Amino acid sequence: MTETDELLRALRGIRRRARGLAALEGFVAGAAAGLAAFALGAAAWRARGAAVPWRLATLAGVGAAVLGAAVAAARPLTLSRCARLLDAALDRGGPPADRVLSALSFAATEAPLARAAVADALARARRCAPALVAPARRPRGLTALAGAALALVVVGGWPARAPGARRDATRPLADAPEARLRVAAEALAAERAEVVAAAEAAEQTGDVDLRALAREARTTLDALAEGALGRGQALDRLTSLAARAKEAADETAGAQAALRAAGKALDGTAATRALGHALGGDDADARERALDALASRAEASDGARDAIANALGAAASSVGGEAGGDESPAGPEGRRRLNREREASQGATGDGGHASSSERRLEKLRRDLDDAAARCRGGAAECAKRLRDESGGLRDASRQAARTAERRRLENAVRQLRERLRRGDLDEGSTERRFSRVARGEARPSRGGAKGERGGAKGERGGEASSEGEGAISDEAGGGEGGEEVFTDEPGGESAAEASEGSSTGGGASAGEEGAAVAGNGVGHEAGGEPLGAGATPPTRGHEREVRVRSSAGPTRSEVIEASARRGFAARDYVRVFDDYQPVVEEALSSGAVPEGRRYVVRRYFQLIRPRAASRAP
Amino acid sequence: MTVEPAPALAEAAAAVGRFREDLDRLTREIGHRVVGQAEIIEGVVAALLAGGHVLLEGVPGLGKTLLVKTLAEALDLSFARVQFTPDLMPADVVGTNMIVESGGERRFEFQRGPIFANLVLADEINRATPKTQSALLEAMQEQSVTVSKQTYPLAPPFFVLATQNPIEMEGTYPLPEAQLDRFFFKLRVELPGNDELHAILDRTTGAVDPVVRPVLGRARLLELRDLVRQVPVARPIQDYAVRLVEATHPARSAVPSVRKLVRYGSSPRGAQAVILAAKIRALSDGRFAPSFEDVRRSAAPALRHRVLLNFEGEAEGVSTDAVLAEILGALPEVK
Repeated sequence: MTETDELLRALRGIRRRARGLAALEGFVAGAAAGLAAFALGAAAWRARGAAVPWRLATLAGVGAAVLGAAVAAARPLTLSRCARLLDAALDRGGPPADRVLSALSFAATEAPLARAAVADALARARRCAPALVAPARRPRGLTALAGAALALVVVGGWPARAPGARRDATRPLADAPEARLRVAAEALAAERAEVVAAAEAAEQTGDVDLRALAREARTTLDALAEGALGRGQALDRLTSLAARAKEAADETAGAQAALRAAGKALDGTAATRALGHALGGDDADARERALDALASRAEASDGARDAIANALGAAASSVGGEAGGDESPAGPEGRRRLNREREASQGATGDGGHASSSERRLEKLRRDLDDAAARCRGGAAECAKRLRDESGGLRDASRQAARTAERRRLENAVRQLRERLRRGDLDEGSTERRFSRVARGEARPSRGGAKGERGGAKGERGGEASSEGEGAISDEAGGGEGGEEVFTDEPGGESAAEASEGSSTGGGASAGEEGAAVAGNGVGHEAGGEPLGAGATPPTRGHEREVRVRSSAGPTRSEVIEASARRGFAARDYVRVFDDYQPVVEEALSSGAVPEGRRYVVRRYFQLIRPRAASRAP
Repeated sequence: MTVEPAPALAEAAAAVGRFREDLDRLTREIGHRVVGQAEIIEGVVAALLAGGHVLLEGVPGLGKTLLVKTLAEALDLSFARVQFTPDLMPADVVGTNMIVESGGERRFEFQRGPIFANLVLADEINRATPKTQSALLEAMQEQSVTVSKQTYPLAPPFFVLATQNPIEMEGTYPLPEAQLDRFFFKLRVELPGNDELHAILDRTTGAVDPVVRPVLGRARLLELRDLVRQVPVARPIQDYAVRLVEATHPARSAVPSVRKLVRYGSSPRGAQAVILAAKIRALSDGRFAPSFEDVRRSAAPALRHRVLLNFEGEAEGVSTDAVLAEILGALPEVK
């Protein structure tokens, strides 16, 4: 017998023993499974008031055990696997050397070192009995078997329940009160800043509607911070508030569009070109100044006054087209009649108040421009007086138009808050909240369980997507949007907690700790420090231990942004840049350049990088 | 546990035993002058025995040059050092034809460059221009130098030990991936520990300069190289190395971080390096065949410079060692 044959015989002996032990394990596991299944069936029998057939129970247990043993014993067990078992036994207590596995591969090789490897493995295998390689141990399913048997005995001995005693499954359970949702005040800081800005703007411009909306938004924010609302109530309230803010913004946006149309008409005449430019722009003061200049010009020259009258007439037509649409075939009179009819019908049905109000304003502007044109044809004094009239249509429309931006900002802020709430980003345990706590230094990022938590969060959000995507409260494209992971769809974003830890393993402080320690010392136009904390190891390529790649969790982009923002990286220059950029972004969002489902992400990004109050100070 | 010497075993066991003794003697001799850096010494010697070249990366002053000089002395081989600078020309490395006058007539005579030594230390290789780098790297690959259509073979063993400094990257020419691939190992020289620093100071600031004696001749070194090539590798172990190299490729890998952070994986040269290094580890441990553990321990130095991270990986500051560690953690030994 060659050395290879002897080695193979030893391995086969190990295989036989391993199969026997596996069969025993299978026997116990099968018996446990059979008894557990039978215990379930017995419970059902007892629930119906029937007796447990014990003979069947015994048969089921034995049958399942035999089946389990047969399946376990028939499971393929290769000689390589046996060689690995033998290697494990040989190398116990030392570094693994895989001698037997290698020797098994060299069975057909005649090279001297290969033969030596086989002889070496065989010499060692001879000293290792199969009982050492595959030691007998207590079957793993023994506890389960005991549990199943106990369950069966308990079920068998339990008194049978009378069928009539069963609960009426059709009776609805009492409605559980909705759990209150408490949101940390700092999580609402961005929205609160927007609301405060809206309230201030309302005071400055005398915008009553905006003031009321801002007050209501602040009340809702307070309620959320105090935990006075349930999730559903909060969502309902924010949905309603967002709808009203949208209505308000749309209303003034109509005036803005009409002004632009009038401006375009006035732009065609040299005498009124300055006013046309001003009406086309966004500066309310410039519009006022242009109107005053036009009035002075009308007083000064008859020729100019005629031109002004004609231009104002054309502007009135443009505004009329904006108000009633070009499809109206009956001219101004016909349009007015149609408008009156429409107002009457809307008044009867009780809806469309906003539309009629907006149209009324446009109609007033059109009439006013008509009137101003007529007066300018009459005399210089009357023309100038009409143009300087503070309650004139152009000035009124200008004031209305100036309110659009603030109203729209409030609408966006409310809508964004509703989205954050709907996505669960404000919930306790959400990625955002967890990261905020870590960033404030209130909690250390913990590794254990982070993945599990996150899985749960994902599941919840997925559920929301399916239940709310088509729901009444979602007036945006909610179908696919609900399941979006804003803080986790970035590369490297396994989980914020994990990522935070990953960033801190090099000995550096976590993002927030670093940020909290040096808050507000950054500047926007020069390179800042390490946003997630400096590593303790020297910055050489030979010491790359900062990121723990086992979890693939480096700091995500959102964390870097959040951490930088918390440090207060913004200075006055940054505020200026931000204020320039944000309206452009909003314009791009509203023009449809960004898909509906991603707008939340863009808005949230800009919320995160917003200049903080300290950096706005002069 | 001792092994009874069987007839087939005796001769091979003796060869392996001698290999182990020689290796121990060599590392002990190097240790007379170089303090600590056991992994680096082990890696350099492994590359020498495998016939490969080594790229050492570390900040200045960690004993890289000292190590190579000591190795040359312990091996009784010729040694040359080339300090790479931006104005170094290929001819400064490989040599050039010069006009010499003898007996009243002039003729060209090839003046050999420093590359014609057995052990060449290319210090700060990334400071030279790509043209000069490629002259050296071509010689490393071909084991010969061609000047003016004349080919000059380099005497074996030819071993290049290049160093580069990971900091002060300004004004350097980082080695391209194709050239990095020609290095058998890339070793990272770490700062010595507290005890080692004490030992360094004791040895270098005292009156006695440690003497290194030659313990291994050129012929014996070539014999050891032959023995390494004779070591058989079991199919499952080789398969593990193959799967390991495959797992470094984002298109073939099941490891998430590889797919996310890696641009290109290792070339087949990486697999060759892993297996050769595993063989040397087995022999140095007195075994006749490498194990999975040998492959695992060889993976980082053999593959770290062959795995290229993508932008995301670079931006996240991930090291290839960490990626390799994750691959090794995820890769089952047997399919």
